[in-house]
Formats: sequence, C-alpha cells, structure tokens
Amino acid sequence: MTDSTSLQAWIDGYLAGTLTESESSQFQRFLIQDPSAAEALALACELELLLEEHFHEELAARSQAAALISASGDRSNADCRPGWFSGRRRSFAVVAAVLVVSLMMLLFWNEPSVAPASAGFTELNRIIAVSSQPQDRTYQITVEDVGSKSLFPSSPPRRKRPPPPGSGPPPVKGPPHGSGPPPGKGPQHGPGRGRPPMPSLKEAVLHVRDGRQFVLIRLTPEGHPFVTGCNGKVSWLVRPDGPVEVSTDLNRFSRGVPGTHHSVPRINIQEGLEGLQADYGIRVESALNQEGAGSGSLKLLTATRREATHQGPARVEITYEDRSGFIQQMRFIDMPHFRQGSVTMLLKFVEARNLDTNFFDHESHHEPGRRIETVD
Amino acid sequence: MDTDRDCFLELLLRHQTEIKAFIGSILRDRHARDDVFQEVAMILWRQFDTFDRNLSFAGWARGIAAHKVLHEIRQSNRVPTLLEPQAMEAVLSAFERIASQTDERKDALHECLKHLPENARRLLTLKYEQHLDAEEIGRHVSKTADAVYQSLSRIRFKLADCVRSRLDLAGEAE
Repeated sequence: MTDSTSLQAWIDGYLAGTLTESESSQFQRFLIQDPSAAEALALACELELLLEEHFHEELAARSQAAALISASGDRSNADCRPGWFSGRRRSFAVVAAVLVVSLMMLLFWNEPSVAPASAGFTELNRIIAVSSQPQDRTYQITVEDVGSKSLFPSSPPRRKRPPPPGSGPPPVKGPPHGSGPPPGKGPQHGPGRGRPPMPSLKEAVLHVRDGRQFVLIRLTPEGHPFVTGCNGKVSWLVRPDGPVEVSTDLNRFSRGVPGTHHSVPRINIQEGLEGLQADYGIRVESALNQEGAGSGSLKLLTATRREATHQGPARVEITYEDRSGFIQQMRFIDMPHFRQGSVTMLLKFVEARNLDTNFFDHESHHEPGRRIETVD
Repeated sequence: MDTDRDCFLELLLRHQTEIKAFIGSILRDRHARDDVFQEVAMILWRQFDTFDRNLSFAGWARGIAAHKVLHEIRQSNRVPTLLEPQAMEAVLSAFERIASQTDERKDALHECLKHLPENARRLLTLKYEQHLDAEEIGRHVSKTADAVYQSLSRIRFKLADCVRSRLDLAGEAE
C-alpha cells in the first residue's frame, strides 16, 4: 500500500465506512507508521467538509434567489438579473449571519441544554433552505385532538342567523377547527348574509405555492367540496352552491388554514419555520424508524414554545428526511383556538410537483359561468 | 469582556473548518460531528481566558476537540468511531501539519469546482447537499451503488489533484 491509488482506496473505504475490521486495523497501523498517509486522510476529511460547506452555501444562495424571484412577482426578465446577483450577495451575508447568531446563542446563552438546542438550529436552517425550493406542495390535514379547555369558557354562543335559501349548505354543527370571526367582529360573509361555519379541516387537502398562494379543499358533511384559496392577487371562496366570493383582502378566506393566527409553519413554510427560531426552543431528537419514509431515515425536530403567553402551539414536531432535509410532516400540538380551546393538527406531506399555472385561481375550482360576487 | 468575545468569535469562525474537519475524521456521523463541534466551541469559550494568545488557536482547539472526542467515545455508545487512540494521535498531528493552508485550499477548491463537468457536479450535489448514500444517488442517476462510489472517488481524487496544482502554481508565482 504505497502508491497513491491504493492509499486513496483505503481512505475512500474509511470515509464510506466499508472497511472490514481487519482492513481497518491494517489501515490504522499504516496511519501510525506513515505520516504522509495520515496527512492524506486529514486532507480527504477536510476536502469532504469543504465540499459540504460549498454545496450548502450554494443551496442557501439558490433558495435566496428563488425567494427574491418569487417576491418580484410578474417582473420582466430584465429585472431578474440584478435580483439574482443581489440575491447571491445577500445569501452569503445570510449564511454568515446565521452562523454568527447560532454561535452567539451557543456561547452566550447560559442554559445547560444550549448545545443540543444549537444543533437543532443548524438543522432548522437546513430544513428552511430545502423548504424554500420553488415547487408546489400538497399536504393532507388531520385534526388529531380537540382540547376541552376553552380559552373563552364564559363566552356566549355565537348568534347564528339562518342563511337565505340557496346560499349554501346548512351550518355544520361543531366543526373541530372551523373558522369565522371572533365574537363581536361581525359577519364576514357577503352583505346581508349570515355565514355558515366552514366545514371541518378533518382530512382536508392543502396545496401551497411560493408562500403566497394556497388552495384548501374541505368536504361538507354531505361530501361536497368547499374550497378556499388565494392566487396572490385575490382570495376566494367556492362553496358547493351559491355565488363564488372574491376579495382583494388576501387574508379574507385564509382563516381555516392551519396556523393562520399564529407564527407557525403554514402557507409560507419558510417564513413559518423562521418564526419558530424566534419564539421556540429547537431540538433534534434521535432518528426515527424508517417505516413510512420515502428514502433514508427520518429525524424529528421539536420546537417547544418558550413563553406560555405566545399565541402559537405549545409544541411543533417536524419529521424530516435526515439526508435531504425534506419535511415529511408537521404536527402542531395544542394550538390555541378561540372556540375549541386548543387543537392538535397534523400536516402530512403528500407530494411536491408543479401544478397548473392557474390552479390557484378560483376558475379552476368551479364550472364556467358561475356567478362571482366581490366582497370587501 | 466584549473584546474577548469578539476576539474569540473571530478566531472560532476563522478556524472552525479545521476543527470540524478533525472531529469529522474521527466521528463519521455528520450529526454527531456537529454536536461535538458545538460542545467543543462551548468548552473553548469557557477556557478562553487560559488560552495563551502567542500560541495557535487552531492547535489549542484541536487538542481540546481530541479530548472531547475521546471523552464522548468513552462515555457513550452514541458516537461510533473507527480510529484507535494512537491512530487518532497520528491524524491529529497530520492536521497540525496541513492546517496552515486551509483557506488557500478552500479558495482553490471553489475554482476547481467551476470547471467540473455537469454530471460530476450533480453527483457531488446529491452527496454533499442532499446527503444521499451511494445507493440512493444511484437511483437518481441510473447507476449502481458501486459505480456511484467509484465515480465519487474519482471526482474527489481529481479535485484534490486540482487543488494541489493550484496551490503549487500559486507557490511558484510567489
């Protein structure tokens, strides 16, 4: 084992963890006897780390550029070029800033658990970078638990006005995670019309695009689709019957979307994840079973609310692929809900693919010629 | 205090690649490596007032990292290691010898990567950005795991060669 090719083969075997016990003993003896072999191993390990750092920087730069392009909306191609270059410059600043902040937190927070928590921040940053890749994503929503403690135990029940004939399905009784205004906020439905509660989020499907657009499909108790959405320019509601409602208030129909009231991952996964960094203690738990994983092992990242007064869920559990950083599911535990007290909700990743360009327009979700009503 | 803190952070940021590479040479699990690096950074800060500023920060840090790694290995089974203490000592000495040019190698590597063929770049992206293993990479590029393993080995060898040549050229120019 004197020529460089053989040495490279031993080093590759060591790095890949494929050396047998006897080969490993032989290799170690060689490292001890020949300083140049030990140097070659040191250089190979350094090269691996430099490659990892290089590609993580590139990923961060791409994510930043994608975010800038997405934020630039309908700009012409002529606008893309400066955006891209400034994105690259900013991305390196962001990487450096994240590093410095992580180190500052690691070193100057006087908490005994700070080291594993910092590993959690590193992982969260990786997940954020992966989540910001520009692809439409689809999630299945499951309401797992509805808390019994109401935040407003003494609030009187909301006054319900019967909907006019033909304005939609009858009110759904006791949705586990319905929507609607808090008491005293007044009706949100069209002028002069009572608003039936939105159907349950149980088994709802959520499609999201670039953090600004979504389509949320629920089913009424009768099994008819009840669809809300936003295409970044208007928000809209398509009920099984009655007019399609359209509003320039982009948040008008987003109330059923998980986490809308809280700084938690929701439509804009990247923004939501970044919100976790501010208000939650982040920790990476041990690897999970491979069962259910598409490829590779899964890891669990937990975010635990620091302040009880913060409005978000008490805990967020993010299950992701260890190697790729790709999120498989997010569980929001004890998310405050003004009527139900709290709910626990699961967003399970279904697929990432580019949906039709106009999928987030309301026209894609109802038959042509349906009456459109503009609401405030 | 603030000056100490600034000075420490500057030194840690400057030498973190060398420290982490050393830890990674012994602990092959990426997460274990990062966890131990962060614990080492904390120890370094706690002991920073005992650090002799006339000595090499990286050398001091690697010494502490070696102790920490040994301690981790003895204390728990969560960090599988492939090297015995004597071999680890040899690798530690090797890092001492190569450390002075880490920044230059980093710059050279960036240049070498620019000239890499697209298929080689893709393999590196799948390996070092997405952290896929050879079998998973093989599924992406329609190759066997063994072929991926061989390709990655060749690419790393070429990159190391390219980095070495660039450093030699730079040395000659000076």
